Amino acid sequence: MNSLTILQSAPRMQLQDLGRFGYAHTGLSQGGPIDLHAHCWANRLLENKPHATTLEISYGNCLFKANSNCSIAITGAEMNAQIDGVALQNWSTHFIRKGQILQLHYATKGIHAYLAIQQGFQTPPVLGSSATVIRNQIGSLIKENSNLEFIHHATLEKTSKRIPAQYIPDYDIAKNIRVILPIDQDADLSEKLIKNQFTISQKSDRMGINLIAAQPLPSQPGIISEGISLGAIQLPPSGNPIILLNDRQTQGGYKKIGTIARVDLPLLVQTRPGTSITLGPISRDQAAQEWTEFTQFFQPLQKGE
Amino acid sequence: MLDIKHIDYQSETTLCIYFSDSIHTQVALEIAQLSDLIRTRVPHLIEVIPSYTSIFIEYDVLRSGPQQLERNIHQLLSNFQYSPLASSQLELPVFYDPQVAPDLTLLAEKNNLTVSEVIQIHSEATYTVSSLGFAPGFAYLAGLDPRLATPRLEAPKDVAQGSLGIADHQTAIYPNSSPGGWSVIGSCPVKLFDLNNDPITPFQIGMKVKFTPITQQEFIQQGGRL
Repeated sequence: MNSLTILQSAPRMQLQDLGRFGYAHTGLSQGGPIDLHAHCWANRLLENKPHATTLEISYGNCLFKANSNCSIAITGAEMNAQIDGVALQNWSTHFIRKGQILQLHYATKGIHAYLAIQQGFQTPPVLGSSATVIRNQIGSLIKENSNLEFIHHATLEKTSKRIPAQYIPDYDIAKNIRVILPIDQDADLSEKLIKNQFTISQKSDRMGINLIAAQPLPSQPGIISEGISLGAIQLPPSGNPIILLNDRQTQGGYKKIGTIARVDLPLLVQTRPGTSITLGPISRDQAAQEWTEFTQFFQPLQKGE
Repeated sequence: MLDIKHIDYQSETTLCIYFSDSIHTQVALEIAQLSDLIRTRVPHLIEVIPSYTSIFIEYDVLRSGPQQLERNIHQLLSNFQYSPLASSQLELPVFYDPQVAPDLTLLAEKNNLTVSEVIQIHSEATYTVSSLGFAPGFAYLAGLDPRLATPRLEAPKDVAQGSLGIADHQTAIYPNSSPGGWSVIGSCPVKLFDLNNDPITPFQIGMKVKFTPITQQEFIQQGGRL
């Protein structure tokens, strides 16, 4: 098997495919890339299926050595990648020769980058998926001196493929993130949500993003525990909302006051702690239409299709 | 007899169907059975998660939609009849001791009971698994004696693997170490979540569960850690 050796690892480096679907009723989280957009583009650039396993690298600063020739793609956060000291363009494919060193520096824009390889990294699937979910004890963080294995032995490609400029997001611009509001929600509460300013807390991870509200939201009573959507906004008694992400618990008992549009999640998760954001309303139909376009573009996004 | 109270369209890919406003074990069992039926009969679903009072569904937006789903589910529901399962019983050993149960003494005090009364009351009851979730292998157990009902802790703390907890009228074991807000009254040395097993957890909704008090020596012998 061909491999990349990790000479230096970033703190939360982990393998992800699209996720582990169909087991939430047993308590397993879906996992999957925290930035689906960047993961999908990395695979698409290499003509991989979207379910191919990529390496999710958060905050950066890592080194890899190629043990055989390979074609890779790098997308997502800007980590000023280099091969043997030569700068690489982000959102592009690259060819690495056996023995060369790939370096990714600390992220200067965004948080999460994706390293994809032709045909995906090879790792034994657990219940049909390679997605790492640390809180479910599935997979583990990728540490120094480990090897990431792959099948395809690439021959030199002279041209690097890059994604069209209009699809490259600017993670630096503080975003208005769109939210689907519950139809029957008290208008006053909805207004307090969309007219507020929120700061992204340091206490954010793959389970959820904690927001600090400029004007704390009115405390809401708990509910009987129930299933939780990706991007659901929970409101605990503190008045500071939590946006639930890929590694979220499968059921929860805090009141939900909206759901982030799925197409806006990639921008949200790339926004750094300390940044201020606002939330704006989007209709459920509009969100469904944009999500449909996204899934049509990258399909198949559900395993087993 | 299950009846849809209302449907919440939570996101562009999910909805939640509510059958009751309050917790009843029987309703939870019927919901679990209906969920199994939905999972096998309704196409293009990604997740079907039953809770005490609701069924949460995530669907494939390219192949399904809320109207179609609603039709399918109404149809299933109109022919649905709950068939009580011959319920199996799981006996689990528990070391009820302050060494592994930081909240045991306080919980007894709060409820004006002695520690041995707490142990006796808790281990004499038979519980019913009424929901699975939060984390893999976490089973919400109904049937707690009201004398032991105790509110959640004010703030969650780190809870060790195997901890047996109480929150309000529920009791459950934490299959893995996790932050949690339940009062811990004992520890179970049996592994309740293993990816190498099929199924990954011995718990099934509807199953009866009983706890057997064990000694420190038995606890250690069975793999428990102090």
